[in-house]
Amino acid sequence: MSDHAQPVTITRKPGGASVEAAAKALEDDDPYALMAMSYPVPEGVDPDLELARCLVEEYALMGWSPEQVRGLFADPHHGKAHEIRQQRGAAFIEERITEVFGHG
Amino acid sequence: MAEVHNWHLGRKMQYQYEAGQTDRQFAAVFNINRCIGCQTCTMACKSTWTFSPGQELMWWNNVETKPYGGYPANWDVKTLELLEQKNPDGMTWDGSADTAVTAPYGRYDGKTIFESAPSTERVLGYEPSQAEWKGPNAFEDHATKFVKDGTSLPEHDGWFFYLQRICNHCTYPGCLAACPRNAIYKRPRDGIVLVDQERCRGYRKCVEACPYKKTMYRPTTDTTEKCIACYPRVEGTDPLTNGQPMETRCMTACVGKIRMQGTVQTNPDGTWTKDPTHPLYYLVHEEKVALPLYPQFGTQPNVYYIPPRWVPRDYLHQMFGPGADLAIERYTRPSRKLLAVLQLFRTSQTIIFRFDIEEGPAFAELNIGGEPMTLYNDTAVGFDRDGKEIVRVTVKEPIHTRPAKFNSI
Repeated sequence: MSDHAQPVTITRKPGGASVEAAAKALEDDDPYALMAMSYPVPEGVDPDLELARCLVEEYALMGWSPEQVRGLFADPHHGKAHEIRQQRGAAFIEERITEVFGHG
Repeated sequence: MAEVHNWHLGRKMQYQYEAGQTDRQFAAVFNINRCIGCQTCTMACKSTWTFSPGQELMWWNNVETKPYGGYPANWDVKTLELLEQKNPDGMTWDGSADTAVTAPYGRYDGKTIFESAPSTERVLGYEPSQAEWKGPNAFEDHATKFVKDGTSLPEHDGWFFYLQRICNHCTYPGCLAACPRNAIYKRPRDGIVLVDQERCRGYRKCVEACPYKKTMYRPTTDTTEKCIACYPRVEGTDPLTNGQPMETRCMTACVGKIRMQGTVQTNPDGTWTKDPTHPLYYLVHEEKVALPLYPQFGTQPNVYYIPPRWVPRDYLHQMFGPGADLAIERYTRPSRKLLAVLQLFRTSQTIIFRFDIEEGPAFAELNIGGEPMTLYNDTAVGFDRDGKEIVRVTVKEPIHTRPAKFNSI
């Protein structure tokens, strides 16, 4: 156990839900534990903006209409696209769509 | 050691054997930008080739999440570290990229895994531990939340991408160079790299030598096994395509339509014979949107990647070499022809040997990257080995929306 690991009581009842893996404390000798590699976003880059623009352009180049692209961001099944819309708002998405498709 | 030409490096290099001429070379292009990490390719391969006892940890095709993930764990970081130790700050390119097929990315000034091998070895490498082969892509999308000093790590708020990996069927394979039994060979007909199971004695020098870690030891047979490029399909012996060469299981299963596979004609020096109507040649040499994975390793891998456009460039330069900037520039604002060729990905199980573009009308005016761009509804046509048309797709794909009242969710 690392110095910072918190003791966790894990109880598994027959048929019951187990403790979620992400909630368990890190153990240094666990061969499955990921050694996270931090790779920062470059200074001045807004990753939501970059990804939203990327998504709009990718689908626009495949012939999608503004309405279809708008629907993509509104659909919770498209996880990351929807997350950006939830975090930054519909107007943020609308700006990206307008950038690519214009006001027409 | 022999001297061979490696066109990824733009120079000659030292290799264990003389270069052998192949009639054609197995090759593929993966468009990272469109991968959703569904692992359908992984399961297609697994359920076809590696479902038997002793193959439990064996995934010939895997999709890992970068920058965190890897199968086996940290395979690329470890090999890069080994190269760096032998060649401090030496993994650099001279910036002389031009149009020559012999040096499209310029000249690599550093050492390869062959040139930096210890005197007792043929190739610089390492053998992953058993633990490192376990849990491919497990939790890789979401990093562990804690580190030793208690710092909370970002949960990919910035960026990540999926890297699709199979054996690269390299022109100068590390596995082949290292095998003390000469059990590994490269087929002259299509350049597919195979392990002779009769000759292999499980010494695992190939596992150590392959920088991409795509040769895998099987304890129940005490031999190494690896991706065989679904060679019966590539040979055209699958009845489904009536004798025509067919793409591999992982390629044909791709849900995201990110993969295109074929065989390209090669010259005696390992370069590709000029053929602008071949979709793979067009993507790699004409448009230069598809790049080799870690070309600095020196094996001249034959799987090419369209790099993810949202990822920081220094990361991409390390992973795909100096061609990354041009590749993203051209992919982000594709030419009229490229846009049509991208539509051919995953449209046919039969291998496409030639393509043609039929021009169509303009259908959209966009601003891409801040510049105006007109989209044309061109038609991309693919042909099989015998010149017979096998697929026809338009840039503007027809979209059918299922009526809500008919059992739609």
